[in-house]
Amino acid sequence: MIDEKKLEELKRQALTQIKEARDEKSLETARVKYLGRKGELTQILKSIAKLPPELKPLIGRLANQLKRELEEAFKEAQAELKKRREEHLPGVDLTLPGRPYPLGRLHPITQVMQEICEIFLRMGFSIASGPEVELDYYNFEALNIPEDHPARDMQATFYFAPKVLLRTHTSPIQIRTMESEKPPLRIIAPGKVYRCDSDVTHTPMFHQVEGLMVDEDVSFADLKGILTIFAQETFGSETKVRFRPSYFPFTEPSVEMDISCVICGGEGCRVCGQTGWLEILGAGMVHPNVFRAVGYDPQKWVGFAFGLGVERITMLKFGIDDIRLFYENHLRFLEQF
Amino acid sequence: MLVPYSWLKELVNIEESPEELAERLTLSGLEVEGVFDAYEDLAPAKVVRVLSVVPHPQAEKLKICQVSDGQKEYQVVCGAPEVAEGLKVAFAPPGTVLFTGEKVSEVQIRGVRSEGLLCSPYELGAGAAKDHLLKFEDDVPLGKSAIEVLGLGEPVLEVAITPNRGDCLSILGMAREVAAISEVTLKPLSFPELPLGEEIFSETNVIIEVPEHCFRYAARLLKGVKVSDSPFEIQKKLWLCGLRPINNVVDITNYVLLLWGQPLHAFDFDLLKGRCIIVRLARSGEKILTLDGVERELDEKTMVIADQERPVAIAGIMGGEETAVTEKTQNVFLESAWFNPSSIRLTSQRLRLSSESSYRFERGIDPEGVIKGLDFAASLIRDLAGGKVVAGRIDEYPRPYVPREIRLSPKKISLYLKVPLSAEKIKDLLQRLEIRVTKGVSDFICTPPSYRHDIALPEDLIEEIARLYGYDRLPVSVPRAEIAGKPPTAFEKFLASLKEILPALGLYEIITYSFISPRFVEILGLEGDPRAKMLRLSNPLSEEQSVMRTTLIPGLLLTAQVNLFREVQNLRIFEIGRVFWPREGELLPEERHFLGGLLCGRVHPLSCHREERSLDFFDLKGLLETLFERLPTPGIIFAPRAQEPFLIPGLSVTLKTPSEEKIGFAGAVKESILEKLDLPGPLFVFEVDLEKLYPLLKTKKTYRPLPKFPATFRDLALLVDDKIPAGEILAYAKALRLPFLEQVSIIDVYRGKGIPEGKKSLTLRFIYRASDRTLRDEEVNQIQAEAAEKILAHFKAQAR
Repeated sequence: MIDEKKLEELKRQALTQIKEARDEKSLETARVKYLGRKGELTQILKSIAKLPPELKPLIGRLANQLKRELEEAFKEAQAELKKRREEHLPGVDLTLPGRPYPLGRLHPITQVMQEICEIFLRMGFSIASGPEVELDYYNFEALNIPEDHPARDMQATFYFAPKVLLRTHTSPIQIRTMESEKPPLRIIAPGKVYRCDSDVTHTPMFHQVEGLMVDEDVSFADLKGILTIFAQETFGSETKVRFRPSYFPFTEPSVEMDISCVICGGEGCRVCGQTGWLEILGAGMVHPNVFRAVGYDPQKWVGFAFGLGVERITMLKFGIDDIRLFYENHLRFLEQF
Repeated sequence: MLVPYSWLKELVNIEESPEELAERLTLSGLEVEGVFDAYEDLAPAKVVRVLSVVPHPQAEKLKICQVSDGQKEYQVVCGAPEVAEGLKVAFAPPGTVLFTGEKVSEVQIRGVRSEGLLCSPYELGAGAAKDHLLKFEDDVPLGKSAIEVLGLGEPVLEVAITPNRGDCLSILGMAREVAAISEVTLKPLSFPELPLGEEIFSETNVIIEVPEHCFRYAARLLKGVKVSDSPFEIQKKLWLCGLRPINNVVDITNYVLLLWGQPLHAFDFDLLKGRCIIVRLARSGEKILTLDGVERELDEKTMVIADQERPVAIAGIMGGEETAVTEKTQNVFLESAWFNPSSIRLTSQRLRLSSESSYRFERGIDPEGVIKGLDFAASLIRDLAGGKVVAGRIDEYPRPYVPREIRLSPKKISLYLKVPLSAEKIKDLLQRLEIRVTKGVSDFICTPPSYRHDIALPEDLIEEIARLYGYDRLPVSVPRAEIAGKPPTAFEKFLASLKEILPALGLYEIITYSFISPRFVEILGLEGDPRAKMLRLSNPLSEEQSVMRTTLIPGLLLTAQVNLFREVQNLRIFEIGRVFWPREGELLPEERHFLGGLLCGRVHPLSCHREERSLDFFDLKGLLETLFERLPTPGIIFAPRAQEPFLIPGLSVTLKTPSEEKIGFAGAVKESILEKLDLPGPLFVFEVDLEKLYPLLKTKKTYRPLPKFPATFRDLALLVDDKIPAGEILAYAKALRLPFLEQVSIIDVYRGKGIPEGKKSLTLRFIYRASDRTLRDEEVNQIQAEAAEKILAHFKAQAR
């Protein structure tokens, strides 16, 4: 016969068992024991119908209340166990490395080339291109370097035939662009160039970015301005620049730009040969003969041009000491950039 | 060019240190690459004491000495009679480069080891004496550098002279430049008095047959000359400039070349047949033995200096051995000429022969210096080698130098340099360079000196002004211009997006040389393939880099080699670059942008989480599918069994456009090829012609509304003949154009247990969706049932 006492007893037992359950499994066993389909409390609830009518309301109320209490207690105990389990979750050594997500990267030369191009694109230059196998005319003749000119010694050239060669600089793109477009213009021409040289500081193929600006009023001061901006954006705003007279057959006056050494900051070190300066590019005002070759009136148009070596700048930026590494494409090298 | 600081100081007052001068020259356009001490090479020579001297058992005049530098003992074989125990002398260990140019090494002298050399003053560059040892006082510490003890030191500037500044290829030229930039005057060179008259014309004569190649030819004759060593001071100057002493006459011609920049040549007059000189072109078949000991065949383009019978020198480049000045020479014919720079250069290139002379002639010498250099040399020979100068001078001058007049407008200067310079300042700057300046109506009229061939245009003068004024003092501005930048072209953007997607797919970009080895034709089995026709360099650095690539595959394979040899086994790389296809009848090849890639190794990098699996074809295919989907270039066909000679047919596909044009390939490289390259398999490559892929690029993206109603799917599992490609079944299912079908895909392929031999089980999943309502089960069932029936019937398959 069900009475209050029995329910009390049941409650005490159930709560003890809940309290003693050490894991979710024994808790579940306990729950089934009392609240399962055939559980003790479930049985009692089912049997209420058979009780004498005078007991029904009381026992019914008490039993239902007990059911709610137990359900609540189970829920709490479950939450508590879950919490404890999560807190002491064993078996995972969190010091192990994560699963790798292999990402690729662009070649350092491409990265630096893109960076350089972006600087000039922001200054209103647009990109031009031309063939890598070139005619002697575009690579030399039109650039004021006739066949007997000693300046040809400055660029050891690969030939296919007497007048067909691998371009030794990106300057032929200047000529090709000026032949097809009217001034004013502002272009940069990134690309591969080739020279018969191979040692720690030379590879037979390397990259240049050529620049050209032609307008009615362009001065040497503008050339200095644009190139200073370039140097400071590339190597940092603290970078100092200096300009030295130099010689290129296709510019007059010609200039070479040095930046304060990126390694020692100008104090003098091995990289800069104790001078505190690093040569990074050549430039100059476009030679009137170049304008004549492309049919621009040298009386009307003035311009400046520059050419820089991407490998050199990349080497300086990252402290790379052997240019040949770029073309070995060793992964241990490529993944550093 | 090597410029000894001390020699420069003989010509111009210099207050600055060599380093300061170097910096100043660099900033004015003569780049000094370094300052070094000429005695550096001799620095290893050190003070030693002779411990013992015993006679050489095999040679009467030689002695075997034990010497000590205080730390270590050495054994030296020495021929000096005065060598004796207790002497302090200079010992040059192996590696020392002596004043004579000889590099000391350890040698066996008649069976006795000699670990170096005991030096004479001459060998150490300390004096003329060659016949005795250099001896030190007894209080000189042992082991100390002999050069240091003797206080020897000669700073030398290494100057990189640009091709336009031939005038600086001499000490005088450098001194002029220093004078101009430092605003000081040159010290006057003492000038000789030489007998004038006509006597020489009765002894010899000069005929110039080619005035277009030889602009000026002057000569003097010296008689009764005694050829011997030149004085130490002259030898030392040659040594400082990197030349070797030969004999007094030759040394003087070299000395004058270095000092004046005027190349000279001395002939043994008695060996000139007919006692005359003819400047002409060589006749075909003529030969000459040049001073470098090489017999050279000459062609009809080569200008030679000839006597009545034969060439005796290649004009401006190198003299002949047969008429050279030797110890027997008594009478000297001294040549000083001005040759056409262009013809010297072309000849020097054709013969692949260059010399100190040709280097200067090519870059242009001072036409007015021809006589000065000649007379200077003749008087030096007279003074140092004795003999007398025959009165008179030959000076054939068919093409006299005409000074140039250049008009320079002040307006142009300010347009270029944006700096206000007074007329006085401009004049002053130019005159410092010995440019004569007169004022015209509005412009300056400038006449550069005869040695400045590089100044011909107003722009050249502007550079000189800017240079002397100082590039760093010129103003800086930023150009004002319209916003003219054009956006990147669509193709550039296409290349840029490839370079974004491929690294995100885990591929590293590589850049390889555009020239490859022709052996790849054989390695890849390309014989007979159009790609075997590669453009060949006429002067490659090596056979390995001698032809222009027609495919990117060789560079990818070589990169795999480099990496695998250095323990990188997992490789996913790509290259975007040009390939070069020769075109019939065209000078320039067709240059096409290609994309190539290579995959090998495991899918996942080695990890403790154990997800090891080797890459297979479907990793490659999935990669390309993702790439094409992301670009997007839809509709690319992966047609099984590529016809590439280097790919395994059953593991490769041809990539085609929707209109069936081939644009590339992808697949596994044949094992036989991998073996040749020492590469492990499986290894996958792909290549795409980007010029063909690019037109497929869909640039316009249109939004499709997100689905509002749920989808429902039905799977069809069928048992089908294993030979039927799954792709065909999928294509057939798609072609049925089922209503409401959103997507159909293959979700399972199974062979093996439970499946009969020669069959496979394939599961297709059909996803249905209507855009305006939720589909009812019954209608989907009906569509699916009809589709299943058709598919089963078409492929003679059974449902599972």
